Amino acid sequence: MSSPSSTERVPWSATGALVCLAFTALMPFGGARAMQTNGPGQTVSAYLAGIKQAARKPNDWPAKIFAAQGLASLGSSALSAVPDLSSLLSDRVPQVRQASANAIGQICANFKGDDSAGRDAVVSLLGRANDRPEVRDASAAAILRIGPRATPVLISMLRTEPDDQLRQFSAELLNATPQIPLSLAKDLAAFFKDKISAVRSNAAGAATRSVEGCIDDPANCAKLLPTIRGIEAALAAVPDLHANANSVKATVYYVELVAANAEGGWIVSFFRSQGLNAAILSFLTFVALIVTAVSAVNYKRAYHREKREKIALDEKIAEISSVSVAVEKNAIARSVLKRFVTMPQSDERPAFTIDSAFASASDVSGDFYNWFNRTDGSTCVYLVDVEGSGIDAAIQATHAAKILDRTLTGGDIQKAEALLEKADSVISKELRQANIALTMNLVEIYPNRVRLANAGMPAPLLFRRDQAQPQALQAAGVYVGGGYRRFPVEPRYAQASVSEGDLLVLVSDGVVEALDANSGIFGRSGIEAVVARQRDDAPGEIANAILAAASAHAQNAPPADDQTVVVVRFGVMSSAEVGARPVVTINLDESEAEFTLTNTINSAEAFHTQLQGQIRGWVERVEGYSSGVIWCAVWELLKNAVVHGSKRGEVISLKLRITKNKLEVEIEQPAEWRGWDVFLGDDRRERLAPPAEIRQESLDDHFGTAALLRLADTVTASMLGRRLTLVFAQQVDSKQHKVAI
Amino acid sequence: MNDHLQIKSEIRDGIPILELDYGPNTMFRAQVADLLAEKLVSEYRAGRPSHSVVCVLNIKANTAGSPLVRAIFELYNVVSADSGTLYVTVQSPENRRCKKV
Repeated sequence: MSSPSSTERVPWSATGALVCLAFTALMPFGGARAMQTNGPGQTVSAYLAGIKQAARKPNDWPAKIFAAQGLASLGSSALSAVPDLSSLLSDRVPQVRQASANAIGQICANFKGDDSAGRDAVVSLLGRANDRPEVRDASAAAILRIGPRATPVLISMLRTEPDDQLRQFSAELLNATPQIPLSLAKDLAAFFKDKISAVRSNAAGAATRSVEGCIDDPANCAKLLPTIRGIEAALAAVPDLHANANSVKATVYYVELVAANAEGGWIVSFFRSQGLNAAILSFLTFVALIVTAVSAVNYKRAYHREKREKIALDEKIAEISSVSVAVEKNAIARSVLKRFVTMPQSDERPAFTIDSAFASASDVSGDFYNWFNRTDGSTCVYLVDVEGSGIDAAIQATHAAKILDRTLTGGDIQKAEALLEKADSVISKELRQANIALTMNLVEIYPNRVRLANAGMPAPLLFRRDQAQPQALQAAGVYVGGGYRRFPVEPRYAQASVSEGDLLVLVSDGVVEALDANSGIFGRSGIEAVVARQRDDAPGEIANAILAAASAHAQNAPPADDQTVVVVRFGVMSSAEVGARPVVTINLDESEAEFTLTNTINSAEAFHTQLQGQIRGWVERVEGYSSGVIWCAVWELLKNAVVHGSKRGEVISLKLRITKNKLEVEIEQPAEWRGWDVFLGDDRRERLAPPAEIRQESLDDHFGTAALLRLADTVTASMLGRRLTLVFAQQVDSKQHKVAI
Repeated sequence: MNDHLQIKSEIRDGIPILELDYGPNTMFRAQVADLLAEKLVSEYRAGRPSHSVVCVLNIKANTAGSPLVRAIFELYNVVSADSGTLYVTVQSPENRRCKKV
């Protein structure tokens, strides 16, 4: 026990401790022996007699404290002593007030007695709102111990009490109350626009947590949805309570989800099965809700967007068809082709290098190629030629490219011919009305071998390093979308071993069939001649040389069909080739640092080597920012942009800006972030929901998101998740950085 | 293709110590979190003495990222299930700081 303060000094405080000890030993109504021999009622009486006796001696504070502590030890059996203890709350000695508050709290813990008695106790305790901190804290703890019976008193106090400090105290206690029933929480809405900001925020916090409590009992909560929506609307009407409104909105989503689908509870049970605690559970549940809602909305949106695009394009086709001048028609058609058919420029992998060249026809058709990596370490490359010509073919190529991208990359790892069968099935189903068919080949590339299937394209040529003549990898099949799976033709596939230095050349028929003045084709021999001259050049140069030779063969006449050449060279790229590619472009000035980054196979090393020092050095010029924290966030952003947000050859833009008291990191990637919620408004950290549906394997994204949210002060996104902006507030004391690195 | 991903396991004074190293590109690979977690857990299980209640993960790499966080989380789950404690060090012994997970 500490001595009273100098302003409230007890005259004989020097002897207080001794008196107290003597009091303990000699008092007839106190001590362990008395409590063992007498019943609780008699013990309470004895302590009360002690209080009354001490009251006659105002300076006898040890007796009052001792009696209060003794009553506290008796718990709820000392309820009858609460009025007397309440009178001690206004004692002149703070330690007495503190002891009596503690005693009331322990006696009335989870109070279930007479309402008026509970109310009186709470009112008395609330009277300590302006008291010394230790007395105020003890009173607050006592009120919270009293539990649910205190809540109506606190709300009533908020409503009627003129003293601002007492009202603020009541609001704080409400916010600290563990479980406020929704029936009372709706009353809190009246204080969301209170003149005192602390009252506003605490009332909002209390109401929000009350609503969030519904997650544990969503079925029952569904009945209270109107009340919850009322609270959400009241919160949303106050600008500085939007975060609370959004939390309530998330609960509404959840309750609606569970109400709509009895199995919706799997989300909660899943995370519980992972052994995650309640805080993580509520966060992940929220994430799950957003993802579920957004996935459905995005799917619907994407569907309608594609539908709108197709209608718009059909209208455009009709419009263009009315143009009589063929040149203009072709010019517009080419612009459509370029806009919608992506031609990846190049790709590198440790075991091989891929590059390509493309020449558009004077009469547009639809060549394109693409590639994807698989989890077994292999890469698939496919080259497609959409049959037909003109803008129609270009449009169909656009749809086909999307379908193939979706079809070939999803599901289990399959062999090349199985993938073409799958593509045949989907293309014929989805583009039936268009009545189109594709010629295409698909090559599975492994470190030491290739395996391919072919549906009507020229056979790929394998140029071995030590052989003069190439090997044509012959596989056969009819068109994809035209019966590849129904009319199997042998050989269904081809495969060959490859080693360092070997070249694989894939061409579309436009290259092979380029005609000279005598209608002689460029053919396989034309390709062989170019490779024989330039086989040690970079794949991109070989591809361009083949196109140049085909053009020369045709006396530089515009090609009659699209011409695409894809060259794969097995083996590690030379350092000269790597260096020839612009991976990172840096532009630094005082307040802004700008980086243009190309997604390549060596992105990680290049970014790490070239950016870490630059960015950390640039940040360290200004006090108040941790370069380690900033770099960590940038690295995570880059990882996401390379792995999820871009393809090889595509460009990522990274900008860092320092303004008066904040540092912004902005990254822009080519691909949208699926799962991005476009409805909840800006500046919401919670909006950063991970992509895709909730699956064990997608938990990685949760960790990345959580890391970004932890590192930055705010995280926002725009352009459907293509652009993310992280803001770091300047720290006055540099030791206060949130994350130690 | 493994980006120099290396996990060494040894028992020192009865405590399993896992040493993890990889190049920057590892963090940029899709699905690498699963791979890392699987390797760490299998190394831990293979080398775990029956009486040990502690596991030390020493990260030698100089880049991190969410796949690493995820992998540590998975390892933590397994170690915790054995009523053990996971300690993570970074570039020990040069760096003496250690974090109890």
